[in-house]
Amino acid sequence: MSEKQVVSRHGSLMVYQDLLVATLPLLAMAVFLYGPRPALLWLAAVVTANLCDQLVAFLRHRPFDPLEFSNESFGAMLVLLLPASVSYYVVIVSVAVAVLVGKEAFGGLGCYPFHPTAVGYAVAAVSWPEQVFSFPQPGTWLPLVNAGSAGLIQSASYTLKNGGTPRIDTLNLMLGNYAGPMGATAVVILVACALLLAVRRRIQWDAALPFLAICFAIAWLFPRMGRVGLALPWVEAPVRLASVGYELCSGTILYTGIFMLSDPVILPRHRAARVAFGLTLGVASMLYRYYGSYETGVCFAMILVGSFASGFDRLHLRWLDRKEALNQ
Amino acid sequence: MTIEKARYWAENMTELSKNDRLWLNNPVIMQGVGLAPMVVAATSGYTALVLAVAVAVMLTPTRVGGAILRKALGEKYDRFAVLCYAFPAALCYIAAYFLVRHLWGPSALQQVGVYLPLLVFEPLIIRRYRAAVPEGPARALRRGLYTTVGYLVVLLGVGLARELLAQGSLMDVQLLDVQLFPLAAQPAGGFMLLGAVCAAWRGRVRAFKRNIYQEVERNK
Repeated sequence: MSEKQVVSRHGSLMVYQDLLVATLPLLAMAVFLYGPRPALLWLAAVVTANLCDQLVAFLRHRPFDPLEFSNESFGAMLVLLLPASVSYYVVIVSVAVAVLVGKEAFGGLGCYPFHPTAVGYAVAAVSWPEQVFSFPQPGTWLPLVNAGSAGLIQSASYTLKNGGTPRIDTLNLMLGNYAGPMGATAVVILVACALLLAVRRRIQWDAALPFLAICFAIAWLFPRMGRVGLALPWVEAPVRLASVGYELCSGTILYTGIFMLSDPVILPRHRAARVAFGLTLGVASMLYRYYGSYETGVCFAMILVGSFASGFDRLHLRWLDRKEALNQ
Repeated sequence: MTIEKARYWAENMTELSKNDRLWLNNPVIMQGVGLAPMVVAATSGYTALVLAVAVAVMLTPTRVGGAILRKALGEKYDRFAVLCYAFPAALCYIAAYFLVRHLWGPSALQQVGVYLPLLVFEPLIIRRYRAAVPEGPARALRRGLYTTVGYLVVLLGVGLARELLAQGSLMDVQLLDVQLFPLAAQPAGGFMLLGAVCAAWRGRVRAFKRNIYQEVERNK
């Protein structure tokens, strides 16, 4: 392996280390809101991911790399997308699928076309929707073992999907003090994590900003609440603003933009292609949210759009070739 | 395994592997044929059994019928080889359709859906037409039976495993109260399960062959 490859590999491995560290503040907030159960779930996810990594290393007759934290970061990211009341079994199975099917089956680190976290989440959502889309009330101290008995409610995304209007004040929306995925609701902490990742130069702004911008635009132009319909964009601005707040903060849009789009492997190589990727992912995510079977569709959108990542690169190169030919 | 047997295996590995349609050269695991009905339609032991009966009725007679027809037509009309196999397959499908309906009623046909008639075009049934040299009826009968057994073992195994994982039951007898992996009832889960089975099976076959050669090397 050349020096350049070693540096590149080291850099890419550091991304996962930073992503894993960035999940800790969100985990701390979840522990504050729901008790120690989220910490145990997080631990179960990380241990499962590590064991899967060791299993693959054993099966492929290659040394286990203890400094490679990609699997652990996928597991940690996945568990924060789930409710704090989800069973340990669901976490273990979905993390195992994320690592073994989402990553290793496609060739391992640097080769997976779909984000493994999205694959694991999709499997959990399709297999156990009653567990994945029911959330405990924040402030409820969940039992460590059987949390299914705690009173579970639907999320704000569910209310929006069914034509209702969530009633969450701005402070609670910012602090994550409402029913939702345990790591994806606390906007203030998500922003802090984004700053941390930005300082460490891990966030792929080329994809994340267009993704968030198009989600913002769709939520502004076509709000699902307040019966605004197809009115002009400046009519009913407060309702549109509330719609943007709920759409971006109550689901997993913000979380995806910060954490999952920071993985360089799933993104196209060229900047313009990454912008197109982010825009397409944003449109697909909002379409899934508006018309999909599940209220959280961003992971399904990520799997769908992930299959076109190399296509965006090819389109970009073809466009460059044509431009060059015209200039000559 | 005795050293004599290991030597025999090592010397004839290619031929023995080629003829062993159950373990070393299973049509599903090693050749990847017949995947569509297995992944989409065989979601339980019951639907797998329905498909298994249909495949058992169609595969060997189609292969033997195709071999006879191809031989009767001769090399001159070899471009019609596909019809030599498609015609018996279509006739056998009629028999399979009525047999399934007689055994389990029309609901069984609905459960396997379009994948029962699609067996007529399934490479597992008719792919022999691509062979440059036509096979004799006796050889077609022998190989057809071997392939049928190999396919049915995997089909029934995967169907039962999917039912157990998705519903916690085996042939509608409830064994578990929990759903271990509900996605197994969906085509995506079927692909995952079959992929895992293929990986484990192929790994075992590779280890078996490696052990044979190592045993022979050690006793040289």
